[in-house]
Amino acid sequence: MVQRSLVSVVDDDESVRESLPDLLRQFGFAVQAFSSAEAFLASEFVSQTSCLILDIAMPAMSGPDLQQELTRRRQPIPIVFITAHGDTTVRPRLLAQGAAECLFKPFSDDALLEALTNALGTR
Amino acid sequence: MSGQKRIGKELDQLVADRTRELTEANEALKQELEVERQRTEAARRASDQDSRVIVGSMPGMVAILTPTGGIDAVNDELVEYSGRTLEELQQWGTSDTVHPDDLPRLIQIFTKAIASGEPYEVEVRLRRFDGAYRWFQDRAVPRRDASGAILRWYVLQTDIDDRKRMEDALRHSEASLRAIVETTPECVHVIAGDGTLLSVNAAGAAMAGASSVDLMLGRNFYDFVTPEDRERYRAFNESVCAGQKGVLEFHIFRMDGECRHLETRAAPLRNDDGTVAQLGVARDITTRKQAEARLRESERNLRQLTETIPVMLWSATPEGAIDYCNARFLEYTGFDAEEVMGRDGFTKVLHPDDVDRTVQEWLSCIRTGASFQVEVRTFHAADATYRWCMTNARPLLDEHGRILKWYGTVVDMHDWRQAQEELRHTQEELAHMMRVITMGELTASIAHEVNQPLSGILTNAGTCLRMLAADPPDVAGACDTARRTIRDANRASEVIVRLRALFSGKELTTESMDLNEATREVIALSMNELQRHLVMLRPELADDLPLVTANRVQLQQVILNLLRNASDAMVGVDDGPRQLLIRTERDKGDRVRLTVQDVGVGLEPGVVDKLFQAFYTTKSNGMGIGLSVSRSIIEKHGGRLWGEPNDGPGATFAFSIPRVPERTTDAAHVMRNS
Repeated sequence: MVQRSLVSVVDDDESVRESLPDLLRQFGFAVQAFSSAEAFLASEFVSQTSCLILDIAMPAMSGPDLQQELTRRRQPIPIVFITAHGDTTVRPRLLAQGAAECLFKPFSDDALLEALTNALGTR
Repeated sequence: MSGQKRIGKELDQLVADRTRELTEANEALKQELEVERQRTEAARRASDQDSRVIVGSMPGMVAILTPTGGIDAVNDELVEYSGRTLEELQQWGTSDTVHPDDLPRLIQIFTKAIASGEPYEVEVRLRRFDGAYRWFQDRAVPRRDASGAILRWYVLQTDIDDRKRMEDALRHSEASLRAIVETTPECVHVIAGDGTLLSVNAAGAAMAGASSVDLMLGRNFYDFVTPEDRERYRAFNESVCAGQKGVLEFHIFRMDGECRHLETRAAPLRNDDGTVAQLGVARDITTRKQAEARLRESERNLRQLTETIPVMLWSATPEGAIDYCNARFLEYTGFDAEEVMGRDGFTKVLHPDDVDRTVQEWLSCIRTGASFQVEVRTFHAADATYRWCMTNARPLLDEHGRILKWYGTVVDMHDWRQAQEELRHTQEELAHMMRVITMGELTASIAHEVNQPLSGILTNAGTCLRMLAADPPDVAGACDTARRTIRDANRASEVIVRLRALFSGKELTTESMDLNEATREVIALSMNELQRHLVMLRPELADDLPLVTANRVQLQQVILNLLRNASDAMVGVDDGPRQLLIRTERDKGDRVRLTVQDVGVGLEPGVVDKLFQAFYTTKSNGMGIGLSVSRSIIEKHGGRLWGEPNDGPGATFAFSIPRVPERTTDAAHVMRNS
């Protein structure tokens, strides 16, 4: 397990931003939470982020939009997508485009930990 | 002096002798002349005497004039005719004895004749005693003595008035005839037996393209006739000159080379010299012939069009008897024209089940002049089946609106209709899919709403456990996360509450509306389907129907449901027309009633109550919710819906709802649906 790696959470849902960081810290990560993709891009943490937990559907810039923007900027950060929509067809597409994992809400803490471990291990 | 004197004396004597001689001779001459004069006078008197006797007995009017032109004597006839005395007649040069128009001419001729002594002849009008003028021929002849001197003029006046008038009349009639011939637009000509053109009028010259008649006279008319027609024309001319009347159509080349089509009517004309010529009247029928040819051509084109057009065409008399079917129609149906013509021949090509319906509609259109349109199964000879065809007809009207003729088409709609059925089927499938898709979307949005808090609950619960399991346990953090778990569970519960609200609370908008209008819309919408099920719909909508307060769409759903049920109930009816009556009327208690009556399977006793239960149905493919939903809609409108069997075959369903109270505005009402 890699210690003190920074995991950034980007989700417009406040309850996610409240609950996920505590869990991630329990896993031993450093955590930064952002309410939008734009806020994340504007922050100083982009280059320090080891892994990104990213909501798919957000009002302005969507999760996949952010993924493309990072690729364009040549800042490939491993991404674990999370979504509350039950549409299972998006998962293979996102994985094909380079995502580390795609989790459907609600997901267990173990599933999240496994996804993060895999994501960071592939680095 | 003596010599001169003597010579003078002798000369005087000589002169005196000559003078005396001359005087004597002169005297002798005088006496001689006197004798002669007396003799001449005597002779003239004798002659005059003779003349007067002759003149007096002559049966004409005679005047005797002196050598200088004065009237010496007139006979009784002249006096009687003129009613004037000799003295009055002697003043002819200044009186009205001679017609004023003739007098100057007469004076001129008369003066010249008296001066020259030449006889003259002139025609003048002389006044009769009663003032009328008659034409006379005056002939004056001088009578001379032996020496040639004029003794007297004799003037004979012969009455030529009758002849003169006849000549005038003749001249006039000839002029009229000539005028007629010259102004007639037809060519009038006289052609000799050998073809020589003896006479032709101006129109004839123009017809032949000649600038004047003279250019044509004397020419051989055969040369104008085209070579193809020449022998025929020669035979015709010879036949006419042999005494036969005749008519002939032939062609000529005009002088400008243009070919014209003529028609001649000819009769023999006997000339003074005994020969017979052709008197002919020819008219130029080129334009008429061309128009006839064009008409024939256009008729041929039209016939070709109607016979080759890939559409079945027919026409009928105002009474509805078919009088024409085109080839396509006969080919399609495989019948002969004679078999389908007439009043009801066309029923042979129709499916037996469609005949009554079609005949009724056709008779109604003939009566009212309305356009005829039916979808009817028509016999198709190629595969010996009946195929659905659309038959249309429209009346051709005269200026008074009377029907002159019906013109109709028959179009095979079978494939189209099948395509329509397929389309409808596809639409139904599509609608079903739409509902499924909508359900899917709904499910997804519900899942999203619920998954969000569930996700929070899981995360927080996981965190909470990890915090408690830590060493040392983070109790404060675990409490926070446990609280967040409770909060998220509440959020999930709220989602469910909102969803329930979404599906139950429904508002019903109503308006003042015309039930007849709503009914007509439903009829229009279902017309096709009713026709397809061969249902004859008879609407009886009351004129004075009050408005009702209702939700238009819901009410129309009820009407549509009742119509469908009635139509479905008659599917098995094959022994008579599938009649469906829809009626609106006032009902007691300020209500309005709509009734739908069919002649279908009817209602078994005891079934009536069950009919309105949800999921009860007598149909093999029904859901059994139509009447139940309809009743609940009507009840929501404060009305009543019921059904009952008819006395005869079939059943009657009706609803009755309150009318709009007097003086209620049109404002929309909102009633709460519980």
